[in-house]
Amino acid sequence: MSDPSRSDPPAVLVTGASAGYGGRAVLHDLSLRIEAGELVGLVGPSGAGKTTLLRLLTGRADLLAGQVEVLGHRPSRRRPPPQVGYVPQLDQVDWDFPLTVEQVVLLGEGSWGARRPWFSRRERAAARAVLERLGMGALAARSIRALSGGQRQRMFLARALLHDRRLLLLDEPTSGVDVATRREVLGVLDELRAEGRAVVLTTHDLNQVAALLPRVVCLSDTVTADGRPTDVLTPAVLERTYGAPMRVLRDGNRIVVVDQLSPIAPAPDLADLDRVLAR
Amino acid sequence: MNEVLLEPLGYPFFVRALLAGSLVGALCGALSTFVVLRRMSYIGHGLAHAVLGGVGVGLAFGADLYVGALVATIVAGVLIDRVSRREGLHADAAIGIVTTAIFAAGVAILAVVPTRVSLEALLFGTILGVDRLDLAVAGGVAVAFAAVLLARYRPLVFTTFDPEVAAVHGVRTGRMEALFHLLTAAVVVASVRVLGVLLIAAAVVIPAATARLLVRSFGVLLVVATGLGLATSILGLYVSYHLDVPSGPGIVLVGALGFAGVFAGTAVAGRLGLRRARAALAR
Repeated sequence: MSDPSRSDPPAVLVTGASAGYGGRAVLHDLSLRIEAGELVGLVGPSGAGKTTLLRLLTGRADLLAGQVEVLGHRPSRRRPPPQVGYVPQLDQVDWDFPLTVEQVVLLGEGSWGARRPWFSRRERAAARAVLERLGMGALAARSIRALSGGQRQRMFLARALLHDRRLLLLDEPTSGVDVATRREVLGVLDELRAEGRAVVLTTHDLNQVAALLPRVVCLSDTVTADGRPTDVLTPAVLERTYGAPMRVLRDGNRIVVVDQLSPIAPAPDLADLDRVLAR
Repeated sequence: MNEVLLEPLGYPFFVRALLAGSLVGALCGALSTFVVLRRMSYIGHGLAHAVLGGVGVGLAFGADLYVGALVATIVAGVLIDRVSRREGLHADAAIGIVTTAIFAAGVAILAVVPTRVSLEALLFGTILGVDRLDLAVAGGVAVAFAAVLLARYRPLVFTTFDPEVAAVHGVRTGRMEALFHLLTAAVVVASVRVLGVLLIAAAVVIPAATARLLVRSFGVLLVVATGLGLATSILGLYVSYHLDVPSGPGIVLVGALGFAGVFAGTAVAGRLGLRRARAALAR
């Protein structure tokens, strides 16, 4: 992948955008700029608009006001931006679907005008190359149902990377995976960032994902904070974003966000409950 | 044995039924791959029911069976789309209301208006009534289906597997959905004569459900399901001829028996494999 030159348009340029579905806005007056070579985490409570922002960038949410440009293109449902790879949440996929790893990657080939169902030797070689690149070459012929969580993420990344796509959007790539897989996924994403791609992911994990990223964008209907985790993950910003008080502990460059909720009291025994109800 | 296979071929009506049945069986088998993987068996069920309404209305007005069937599937498709868009209602409710209402209208009309078509033949299929037009319709739909599959295989598979990402990668998923429904409607209409409206739903599920127990690749599944659809249709038509039962039940019973056999066989094979693995670990 060539180094991005200064004249390249930003990977993402959102200016004063309000967006949602069916005329109802989920995001309000949102502005955001992401350059090539950045790895950005979107955090926020459920319903804050993280997935809607990813959909807006791929033309699948309605833009009600403002402007959106992705790699210099204005995305729409009819014309999703080229050069964008998308990795869905793992639980959105039917893992019993009868496809092999290589066949799933080849779906990212994108030559929809092709008048033949089978893939050419050149297309298969490209899929194999990207699988090798992600350490999945030996699993190309394996059924997708037999993959681990980390292997599934790598497979979808491989599909997103075919044709050397410059912007990668990942919806909860570390959701429901173990510690080793999370490290593996973040390591691969950092390598892709270092190659000059822009990588944007959503996450609910403030401590094990967001705090480790170079840039975090907090969302709650709009951008509530944007910057390095040490600058952004502060009690004030977190309360504004999540609507709940949180403590932030610092250990050198690392920060740990702790919920201020007190431990829930043990359940009263039934005799106590009877007394309470009798009152 | 030869007599069992060759004797019916002496009758032109059986040869026509066999040709139309083979085409319809293969079509239903191929379609079943998409139906099963999309978990949409109810759409075949619903559209087949709607066809009867169209046929009833069409025959009452002197129109051809296929004209009524075609109009009914289009009307059903539009109404299902309209009803399911209303907040609080989903496609399954829309299909349940729209198609059964059209079906009921068809049964009522056929009960009141005298026509030359038997209600039993429409419900369960017949090998006696297959004419050149039925054969032409089945052949035309088969050619169109194969052409669409060849030209749009990749986006159809992508949309079936992962519609959200397919849209990001430039697949017109709305068009692919419409294409799938169009193919379903065409196969249902072409199958009415041989299978009957009540048994089409099974024919567009059983082949892929059986193949799914045996194979792990989409392309192979499509081929095996098509082959199973073809084979069960031919066997079912012979059963229909020799046992004097309507063709629809003959074909569906053969398919269901095949499914039961594969289901039991794969279950036994799985248990034997487990026992072997345990024995190997115990050594």
